[in-house]
Amino acid sequence: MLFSSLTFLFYFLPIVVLVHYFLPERAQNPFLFVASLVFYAWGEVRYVPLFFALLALDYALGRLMAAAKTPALRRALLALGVAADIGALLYYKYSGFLLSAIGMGGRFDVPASLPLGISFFTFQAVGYLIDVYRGQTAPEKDLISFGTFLFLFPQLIAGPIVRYSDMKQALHVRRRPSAVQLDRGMALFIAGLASKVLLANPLGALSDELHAVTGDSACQWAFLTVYNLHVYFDFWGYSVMALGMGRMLGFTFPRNFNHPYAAESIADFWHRWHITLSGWFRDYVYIPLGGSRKGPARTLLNTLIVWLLTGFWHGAGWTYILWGLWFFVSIEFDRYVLRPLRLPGIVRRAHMVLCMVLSYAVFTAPDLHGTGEMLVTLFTFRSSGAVWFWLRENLLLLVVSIACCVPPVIGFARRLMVNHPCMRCAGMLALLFLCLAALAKSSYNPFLYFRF
Amino acid sequence: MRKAPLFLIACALLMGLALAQTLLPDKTVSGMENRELMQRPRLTLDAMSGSRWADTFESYCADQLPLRDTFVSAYTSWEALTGHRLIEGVILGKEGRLFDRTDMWRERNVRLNASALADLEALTGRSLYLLAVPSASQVYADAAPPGAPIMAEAPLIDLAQRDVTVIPLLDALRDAAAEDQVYYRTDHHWTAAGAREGYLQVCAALGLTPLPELPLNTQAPFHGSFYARCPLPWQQADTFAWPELPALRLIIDGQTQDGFVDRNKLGERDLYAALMYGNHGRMELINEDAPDRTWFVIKDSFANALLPALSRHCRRIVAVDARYYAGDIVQEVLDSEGELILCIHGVASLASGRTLALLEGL
Repeated sequence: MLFSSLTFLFYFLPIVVLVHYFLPERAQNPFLFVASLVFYAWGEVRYVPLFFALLALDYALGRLMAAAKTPALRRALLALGVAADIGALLYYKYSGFLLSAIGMGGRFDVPASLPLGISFFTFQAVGYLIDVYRGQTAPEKDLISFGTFLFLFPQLIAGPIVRYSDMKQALHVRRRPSAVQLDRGMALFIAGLASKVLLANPLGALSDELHAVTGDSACQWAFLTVYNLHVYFDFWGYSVMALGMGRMLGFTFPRNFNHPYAAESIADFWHRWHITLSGWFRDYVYIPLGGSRKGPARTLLNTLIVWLLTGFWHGAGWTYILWGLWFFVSIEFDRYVLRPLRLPGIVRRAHMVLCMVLSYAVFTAPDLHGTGEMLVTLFTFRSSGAVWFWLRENLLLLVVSIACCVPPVIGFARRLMVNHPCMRCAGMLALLFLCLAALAKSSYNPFLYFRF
Repeated sequence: MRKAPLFLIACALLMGLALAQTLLPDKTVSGMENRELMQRPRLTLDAMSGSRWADTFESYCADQLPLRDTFVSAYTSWEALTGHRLIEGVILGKEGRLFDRTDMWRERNVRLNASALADLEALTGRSLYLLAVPSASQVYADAAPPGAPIMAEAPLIDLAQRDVTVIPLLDALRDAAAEDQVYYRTDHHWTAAGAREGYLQVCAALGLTPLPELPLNTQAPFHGSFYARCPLPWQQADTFAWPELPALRLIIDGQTQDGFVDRNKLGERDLYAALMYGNHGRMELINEDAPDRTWFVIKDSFANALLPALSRHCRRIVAVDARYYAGDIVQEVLDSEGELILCIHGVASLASGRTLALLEGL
């Protein structure tokens, strides 16, 4: 089920939030667990056994690890859990790619589709096991509460990747969000929905139009720029919807974005973009590898490993690995060349924007050959002028989208909302109406030559 | 909770819509979209085991959304007000004129269709004439926004001319447009005045003396196919006009219709669909008052406005719409004993698909 589907908006969301609000403490987690199961099973029933298997295994391993007397046994249990979680991810997401990479593609049956949200909940589960192993958190004793943590529907399909310690307290109290929390939660949800439906979707349609003008440099530069905005508002929208739903259910999820396009450098960008994923790699990969404590060469190697893994996490293909490598090179270039030169801030920002724009030449290409073709088109600087129609056509959309990337603009809007509750209420309801209208329109399909 | 007005109103709005959807009877057909609407799916274990039921239920929610047309119109208005001039493939021109987006048409389709017509001419031994009706954007070019994704159609017509005899039409329509409205604003078809120009050009090509104009019936408001795709509340409606010709009978699937206008359709949104009772694989037009001759017509919906005038020159017209016709076209032409073949097609259907090239028998 998608947050921006009518089924979710009309039936699932209001019913779950309202019923959850009035339930006693002992019934809240079971209710949310069942609701999350329904959310997951809606269209993905065949992956429910995987859902339960990972849940039972991670729960049991967490308990066993805490009870284990020897470090060796704890290590073995951790290895088993990580292998199971990452193994599931490798099997469903990467087996086809890995087999073809070693020349065995087509010899084995590989999963035809990916279980919804597997990249997120497996990382959340691995994080939990490592935290328990390190003694940073006690294992969850209640299976249902653990299931609620691992599969809570707001963050199940697109994050944020939440640490158990951040949710533990809320899982064991009567969650009764205040009126302010409910109102702010709904405002956040509507803002996220508007970001997805009113900005990301039209930006996606625009990027498709621009991409279709093959061989036109101006259109392809515009495509990559618009695609950046499309991905940002899509992902940011989902994250903000998750945050809003979390508030309405009495949880506080970590922020996943912090105005990434206002970053001062490409490294800063990644501190502000998909923050919970970067944090996961930092805590569970980079620092265990030694971080920056073992000399410059080892730091460089550790950073390279993290970036290759980050690229690979985003998709099973050489282009994604190259995409990760591109950011490694860009960040190190910024660190060792641009920063020591003490250039004006605008230069590093321009470098950040250029890195992001070009990164999608790699990310959106079907293969490395496609990446090469795109780069050739970009740098031949040939244009038919078609780009002007599309830019004029979407001028307001682009202006609003770019404005929404600027922190003072968002800050101003936020202050306006906080200081004028009536305006906030009216504004948000107008946005909700527009979102519903857009969703109704997306299913609208006039048929010219219909014969009754 | 009472201090959470946004939360309460939003929940009430969403649940209210859900409740209305549940309680109101399902609509079966959307007049705006010309299609059947999804009905409430039955919940079975088999259907629930895959993603099919979820997808069907989502489509059902969208189709049966209360006030759906209002929502769609509201969002279309929002798009137009925020500067969009291209909405659902409809280009918003000056003076309320709407045009089709045509940049995805292919020259290759025109070549294949024209070549198929040339084959038909050779195989049947009948003279074949093509009347390629251009889009409104070619006639009212100044009304289209600059740089709009519109393809020039003159080169496409020239391309067809390499294989078949094309009856010139574009310049005549452009000249007539200065005096009269030759295309509907809200529909992709030509008006009775536009069809009259087509008729004059056919007469000129076939060496016929044009007959005086038939009296016209009119009905308003007419919201055509462009409006259905782009329902702007402030869009100026058209007045639909059709010629009066009581002598003309129509035979569709062996059934004789009284006249060529479906009176039931005159009560619906798409008035153009009333002409010739819509589109059919095969039909015959009989006009006992006309000279005793038969023509064979390969047509799309553009021909529906022109056929009444042509029927005054021949007693019997056998008309085939390639999009819905499944028989052997060569045999059909030979069986009809038509003197000539007239292909009346919009450039749109010649360039956007290969319907003629895919006809059985070619």
